Amino acid sequence: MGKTLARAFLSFGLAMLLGAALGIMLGRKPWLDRLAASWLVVGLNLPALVVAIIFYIWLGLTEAALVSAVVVNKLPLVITTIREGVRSFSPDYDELAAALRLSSIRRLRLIQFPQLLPFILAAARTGLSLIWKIVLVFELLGSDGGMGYRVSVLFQFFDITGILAYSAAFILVVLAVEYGLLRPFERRALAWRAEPA
Amino acid sequence: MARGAGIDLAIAEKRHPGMKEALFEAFLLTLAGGTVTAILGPSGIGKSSLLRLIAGIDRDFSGSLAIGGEPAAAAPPPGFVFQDARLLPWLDAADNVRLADPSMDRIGAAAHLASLGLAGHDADYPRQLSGGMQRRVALARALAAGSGVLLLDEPLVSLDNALVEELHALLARLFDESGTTALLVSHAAADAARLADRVIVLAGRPARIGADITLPVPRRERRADMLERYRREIDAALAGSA
Repeated sequence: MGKTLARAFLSFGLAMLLGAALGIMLGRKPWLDRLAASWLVVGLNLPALVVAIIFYIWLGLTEAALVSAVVVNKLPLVITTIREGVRSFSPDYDELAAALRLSSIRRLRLIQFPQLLPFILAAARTGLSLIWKIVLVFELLGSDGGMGYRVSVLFQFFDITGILAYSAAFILVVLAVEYGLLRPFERRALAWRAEPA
Repeated sequence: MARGAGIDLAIAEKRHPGMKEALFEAFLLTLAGGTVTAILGPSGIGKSSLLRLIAGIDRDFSGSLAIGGEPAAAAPPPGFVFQDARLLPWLDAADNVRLADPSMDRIGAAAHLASLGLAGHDADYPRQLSGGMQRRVALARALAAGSGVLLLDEPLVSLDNALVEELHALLARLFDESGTTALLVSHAAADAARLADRVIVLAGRPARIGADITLPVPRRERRADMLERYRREIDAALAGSA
């Protein structure tokens, strides 16, 4: 279980960082967006398994292959969400920043990041759910450990009890992440949206 | 606050991309320090564009702009009050004010807000404030820039009468006490009659100064009948130059 979690969070972190950076670039530069748009569509619709198998063949049955396959699967989703976020930036706030002569760091921190935050959170939530699912499949496909591997072993013994036990543990972890991390963070970050008390 | 700086604007040409005719051509405007000038004219004439040039929001024009005798790039940025309050909804009132002046701490920002009648509201988010209060916060933010120059883009539009009256009084007091140089874009002659020392009416394309009226009586001595007379004079100028 620990192995699976580590893999999931590592690929999640990488995909979010890369996706945010690329998404912001695509949102900013229309020519780059036109260049990458069809690749994004391909990326979004490429079957996860194909990517995993290709990476396993190229990089061998390694940790790196598994993580990069997960990242590649998740990346287009993050990029498109963040890109929409950047496109939705209000020119009104840019005017304000210009009138106040805000430095680019303060502009990023006070004006652009808060506008992007709901999109980052949306990407995080959909991304995390996707990653849980594919990490397990990839582990089942070729790995020396982790939940997916365990489940495949249990499957060979038709050990329903074991599989259900793993599922239950998994559900607990997912709920803990949602209510222990994502929700409280969202509440704090988006407090300004709340109805007046 | 020190007496506000004067503004010298000389536009050789200002043209929006894709426009056939220039918005401004060989346009000169000089504002004396510490005076309040209202700019009126039909919509689309370039009032807001003019304000954005002086604010440094739009730098795409040929010509020169000096604030207090210095080139605008070197001068402290003028405070700008937008048509909508344009507060950042994710920052509370005090942080919105501090946006204009990072060296101001929260206590200073709260005191500054209190001086505009917003005591105790420094930790409120914009959506917790009424429309009138949001405008006050926006005004506080523009003043916090501390340059002594204030640019107002139709700050009183789409407000109900009571609120307009309240903000008129607030602005008049502010102009009298601080000696701010202010440029007020408006479409209402009543705003100009109440607040301005000088009224400029823009007309035509490229825009030129259609009328330049001085209102010599100090703001606080203007009685109702005088305001009415000023208002009619300005309205006549508007109609005459249209």
